[in-house]
Amino acid sequence: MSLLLALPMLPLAVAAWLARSSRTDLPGAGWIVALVAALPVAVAALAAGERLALPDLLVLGNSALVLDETSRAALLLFGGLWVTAGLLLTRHDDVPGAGAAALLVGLSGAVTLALAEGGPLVYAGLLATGYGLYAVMAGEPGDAWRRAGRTMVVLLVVSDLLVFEVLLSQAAHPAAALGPGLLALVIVAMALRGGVPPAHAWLPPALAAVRPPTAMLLVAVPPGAALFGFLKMFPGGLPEVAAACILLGSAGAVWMLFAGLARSRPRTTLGYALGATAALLLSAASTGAGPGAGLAWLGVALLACCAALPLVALLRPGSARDTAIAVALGVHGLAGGLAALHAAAVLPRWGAWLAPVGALIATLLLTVTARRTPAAAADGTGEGTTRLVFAPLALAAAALGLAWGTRVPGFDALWLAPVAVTLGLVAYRVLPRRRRPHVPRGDLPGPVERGVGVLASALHAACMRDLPRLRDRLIASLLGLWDGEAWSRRILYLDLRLRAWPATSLMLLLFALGAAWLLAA
Amino acid sequence: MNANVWLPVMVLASSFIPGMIIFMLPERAVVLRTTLNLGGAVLKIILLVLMMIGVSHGVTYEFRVPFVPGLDFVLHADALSLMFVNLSAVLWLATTVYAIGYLEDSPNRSRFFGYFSLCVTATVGLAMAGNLLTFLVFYEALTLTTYPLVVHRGTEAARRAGRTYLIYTLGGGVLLLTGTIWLYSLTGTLEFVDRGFVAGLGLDPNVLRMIFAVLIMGVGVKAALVPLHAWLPQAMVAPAPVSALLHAVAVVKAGAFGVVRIVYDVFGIEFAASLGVTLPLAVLAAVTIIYGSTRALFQDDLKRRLAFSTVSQVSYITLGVAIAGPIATIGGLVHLVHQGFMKITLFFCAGNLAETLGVHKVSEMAGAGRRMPWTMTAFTLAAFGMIGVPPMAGFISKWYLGLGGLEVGQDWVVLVLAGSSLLNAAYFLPILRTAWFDPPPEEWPHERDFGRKETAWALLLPPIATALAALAWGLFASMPGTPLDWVHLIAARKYAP
Amino acid sequence: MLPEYLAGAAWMPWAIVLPLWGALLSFLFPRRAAPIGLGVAFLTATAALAVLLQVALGGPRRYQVGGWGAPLGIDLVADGLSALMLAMTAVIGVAISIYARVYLVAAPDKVRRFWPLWMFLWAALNALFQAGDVFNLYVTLELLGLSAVALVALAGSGPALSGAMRYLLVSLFGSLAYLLGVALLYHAYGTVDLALLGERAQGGIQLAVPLGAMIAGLLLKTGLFPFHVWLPPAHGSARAPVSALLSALVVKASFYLLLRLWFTFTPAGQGLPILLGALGTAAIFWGSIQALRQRRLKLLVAYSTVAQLGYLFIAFPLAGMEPALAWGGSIYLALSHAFAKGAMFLAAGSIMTESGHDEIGELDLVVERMPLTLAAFALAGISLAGLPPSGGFVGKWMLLQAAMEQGLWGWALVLIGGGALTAAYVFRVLGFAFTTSPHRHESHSVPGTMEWTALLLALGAVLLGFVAPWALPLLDGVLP
Repeated sequence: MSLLLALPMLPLAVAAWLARSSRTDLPGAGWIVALVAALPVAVAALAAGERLALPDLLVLGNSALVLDETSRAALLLFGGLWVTAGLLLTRHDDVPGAGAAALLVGLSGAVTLALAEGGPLVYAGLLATGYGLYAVMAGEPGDAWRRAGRTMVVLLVVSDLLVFEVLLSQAAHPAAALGPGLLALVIVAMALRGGVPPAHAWLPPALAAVRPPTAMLLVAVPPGAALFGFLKMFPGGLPEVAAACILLGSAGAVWMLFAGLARSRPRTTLGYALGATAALLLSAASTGAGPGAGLAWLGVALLACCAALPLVALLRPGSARDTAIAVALGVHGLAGGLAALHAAAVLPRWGAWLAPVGALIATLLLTVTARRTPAAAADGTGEGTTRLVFAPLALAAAALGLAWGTRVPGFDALWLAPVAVTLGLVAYRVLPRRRRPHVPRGDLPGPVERGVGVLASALHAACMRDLPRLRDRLIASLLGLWDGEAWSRRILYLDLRLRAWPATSLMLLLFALGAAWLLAA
Repeated sequence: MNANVWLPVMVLASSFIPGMIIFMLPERAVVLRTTLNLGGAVLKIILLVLMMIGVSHGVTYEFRVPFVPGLDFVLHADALSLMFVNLSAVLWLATTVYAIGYLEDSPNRSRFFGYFSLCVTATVGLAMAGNLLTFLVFYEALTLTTYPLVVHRGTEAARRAGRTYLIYTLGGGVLLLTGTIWLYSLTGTLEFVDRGFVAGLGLDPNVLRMIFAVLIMGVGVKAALVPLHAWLPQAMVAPAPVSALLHAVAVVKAGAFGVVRIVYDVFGIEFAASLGVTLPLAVLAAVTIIYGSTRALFQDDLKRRLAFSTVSQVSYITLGVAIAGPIATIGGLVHLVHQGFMKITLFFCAGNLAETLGVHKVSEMAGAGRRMPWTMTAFTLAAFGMIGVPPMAGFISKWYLGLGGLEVGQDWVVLVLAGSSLLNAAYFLPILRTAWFDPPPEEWPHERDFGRKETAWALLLPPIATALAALAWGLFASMPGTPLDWVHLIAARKYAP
Repeated sequence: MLPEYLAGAAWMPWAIVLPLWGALLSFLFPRRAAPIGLGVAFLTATAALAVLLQVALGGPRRYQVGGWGAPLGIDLVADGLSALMLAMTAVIGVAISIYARVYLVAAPDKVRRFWPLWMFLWAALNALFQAGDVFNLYVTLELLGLSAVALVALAGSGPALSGAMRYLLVSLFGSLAYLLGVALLYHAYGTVDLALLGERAQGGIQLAVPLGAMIAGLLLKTGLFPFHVWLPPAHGSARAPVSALLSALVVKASFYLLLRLWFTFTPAGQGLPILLGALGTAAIFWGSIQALRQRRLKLLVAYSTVAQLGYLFIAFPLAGMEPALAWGGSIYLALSHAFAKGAMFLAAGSIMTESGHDEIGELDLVVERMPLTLAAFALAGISLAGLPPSGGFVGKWMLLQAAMEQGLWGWALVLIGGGALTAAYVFRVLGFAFTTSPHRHESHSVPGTMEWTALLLALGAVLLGFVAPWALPLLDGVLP
């Protein structure tokens, strides 16, 4: 047995143990989660690289658990986030056992994804991460998350199916390159799963509806899963779709810019900032992880910065809060610049300047978010203060440092951070401070949702009413051909006729004569 | 005469004789009845293990007596039949344990368990049938032995469901009889042979196509192919163990198994493909898959939803068979086993909810996960398996089916699978959400108290065991000894080298 | 091989003489009629089974009564067909005797009339199955009919008496037609011995007219549609054991006779076979539909007999190219129908005894109170419907195979459709029997013997499905 095998199994075992308990609240649940999540962090930081082949697992025979640079980055990101979430949970005293179990299932999935090699295992990790996160969200009090949760699950399922198709196709034709149709499937699948526009609609309302620990996970995990899923399945990237990705990413970023600035609530804005970040990551992922898994580290830095923002709201005004915001914005800007450079490396000239635009918008929106985020009340009411915000930030900084280790940034990357932050501050200052009308559904075109609703209700009517009615009518018309009463009368009449002695005698005679005639002929 | 001849008969007898004795037992003889039931089930498994060891060493087990002029009554154990027999035997054991707990204190238990044993006997016989005639015999016997189970409750609804069930299945039996005798009058043999006995006789292909259609319609009734499926949701009035057995092992699987036998051992897959009959069959299966899932989407009654899900899932087997490629065959055959384990888990869990909490509808399931965590965990595992989520067993089936479709260039199969998975998710995930995350009601419709346990042991252990098995078959699919491994062996024999 | 005392013994006359003695003794000692009858029943059955063994191992046998030869004396002939019929009568006769012994305990005045008549009927049956000439056949047929009528009248109720009256007239009428044929044959060929007739008859009008008359008379006595009208009232209103033996055995006798004539003269041409097949088809559908319409259990079973008799005649048009399959199937169907119908009537009798009525709509709870009887009814129904594995299935399979191999699709469809209809009326009863009704009826206890007898008989009908490979070779020399 290897330590690698224990990483995904341990959370599952603990989750099973927690789910068993039907108590509605578990005081120590947060500590348990944090403790369990600390193991991946420790392994990622301390253990030597390793590869554990699992030939008997699932179907393909080439499944394995590996600990390489990409895996380390993913482990650090997910592990760190879950540790932070667990520690945050210790401050709540009404954590249901099922909620903690859901967290652990999600962690198990994330760790599996981080370590996985070979399509089906990656797929399994993606699935468990997605459904686990949904379960975490579903454990939130209140009903505000429901609508967003439903959209999220639909997107997840569709994305899973697309991934499944791609894996199948790869397995069926291992030698052949992916055709354009399949490449499109890959991009769409990851966009759906990672909250990349236009599949971001569920993110802002979901973020607005949940408590900080969940919000933190919601911010970082879907794009993280999408990024690492992509890198795991296609370590070399897919340069042939880079142009499409960058176009999609840039268009999405511009959309996010306008939509995000138009909102006023901090969490909602954060959703749009995240959409822009996810779009940037998707654009960059098409070029592969790069030497030393640079992109993986950059992704960790970007997402960890975003994840820190919901926690900033818990800090009282003061130098700690200012520092946190400054570090978050700075690291995000620097990492974004590097990621843009990374993406631009394989792009044609027109694409090379689009990538920084995306990064610029992401950091800009994050800056606006930070400005819009109110500070916790200084008098100690509310949720109170927490320095845990520095945990993701430290992670982000470390990741950025590691990414620098593979590629020393030049001016190309460095200019972006100050420019973006300045623009963000200006935008915040310039924008009128009026309360925008509440826009509950994100900005996914309403007609789509309405259309789906109409379709579903039509299907429902068909299944529950029309089909049975059609069937009943058919049966009724068939039965109508058989007039039971009339036939019954006829049979009775015939029976009486047959019973009469003259009939019997006559028929006997006729039969005898007929038989004789037939025999003689 | 040696043991090899009698072993198949003993496998049959291990459930037949206990069943006959149970009929004679008075209602009060609980201990004796339970002993007989479990003893028979365990004995059957032991015998099967012996037989599997034998088959892997190349021993043939065949029992043969003359039956009608020119034809024998043949019980034969090959790899395919052993797979189905094993499935039946293992799930029979689980269901027996479950039924003992479920029917505690209800009337007519001797009758129930008697017919229950006979039903398994018929299934096992059907699996081991060595020719189409023997298959037909057990196919009809299965209809007759399950009818009393369907109407067991004795209510008016049960009687109506039983009538529908009979009309459909006896009609199917008539068709199967017609096809069988028609085929026999042309070929003069009905022995199941790897790669079929029809090929190479130089018969009129149009006649063969018609025979194929008649035979498939005959078994398609039990396999619940659209539009012959209407009996299945109605048969849900039966007690939960019956539904479980009906759906997972006995009836629908008998139909699916019949499809497998007809395509592979009567016609031979290559010959059937050359007749051009496999593509229509595959399309029919695909339509059934989508139709069943769509209907399941809107059922509020939990068992009815599961029933429509069965309609859809069983056709995976037919689809895999009809795609006519080795990999798809593996997918279809292995789904025979996988679906059995997953579906039986779901029905056990539905039965637990009904028995412990009085919950019958999806809308009443809010908070059931908190009240019965073990049951709902098993349910969740099985439901994810049905959706096709790795590492559950359902994923393996879907994987091979999709791969098989791509292998022979029928890419539409993948779309069907994807659509079905989407629908599966759409009707299972809301159940899970409701059960786990919605707040429980103040009071359950009809709650029974089991102290600190969530429900009786006999009700709890079988679903957990089968759910774990479904997990294991998926997680360790590539290991030797799993259903997938065994199915590889079968598929290798059904295709020309 | 058989031991000497068994092989050499003249079992054939014993099978006739024993029941005759039984009839006489039970008539003379009416108080002990039941034990005497039961004992003789076992002895008779032994004799009949011994004949079966003799024929099975030693081939067809001929016994000259009093040592006179064929043209002058009376010859008893036993070939495979006779032996099978004898054995069938033996098994069912014993079962009915056991059942009647218990059933009639409640009606002591019936006992002393039942046993002599029944023994007499048995003797007539055994004599008929072993008769070697057409005149003896007539005599036995007449005796059989008279004793059967008397047995129907035994019930004493109004419907039973009117049914018996109608039965009597039909029986006489049929015998008359048959006798006319015999007379014409004797006039034309100067002999009544079947074997000699077979050699001498050359066809033409002088064979056709008597044969037509005989066949018509036999059809009337068999109750083939449209001559079935006497059958349901007679069979439906008689006492349970009487109904059983009428439906199981008596109608088979005239069918047997028809087969004998047919095998002897082997008429050429397809006209008459098709006519018979068409009447059979009509019988199947008419009987089944009427059975579906009935409200009383015994009438349902009686109409089922009408339908099942129709099956036996489907063999005629199928016998062209596949005589072995068609005749074998038909005879096998007759055998298994005898078992199944006997069991069904006995079960119906148990149900009537228990609940005091036989309304199908109020049979609920039978399954709880009398599981064995219901099982008997179900097993018998399975055999009737031709569901495997039962004797009915084997017979129907052979007929179907004969039809398919000749490409005669119409007859095949009739067979299949008839099976479906049979299943429909059988399960109509079974479906009611499984419902639970809110109100409880008053009930009388039924002796276990009655239930078990019916069940064993029904099991016999099912097990017949497995003995075909041993039973059918007996027919090898008999079929044309």
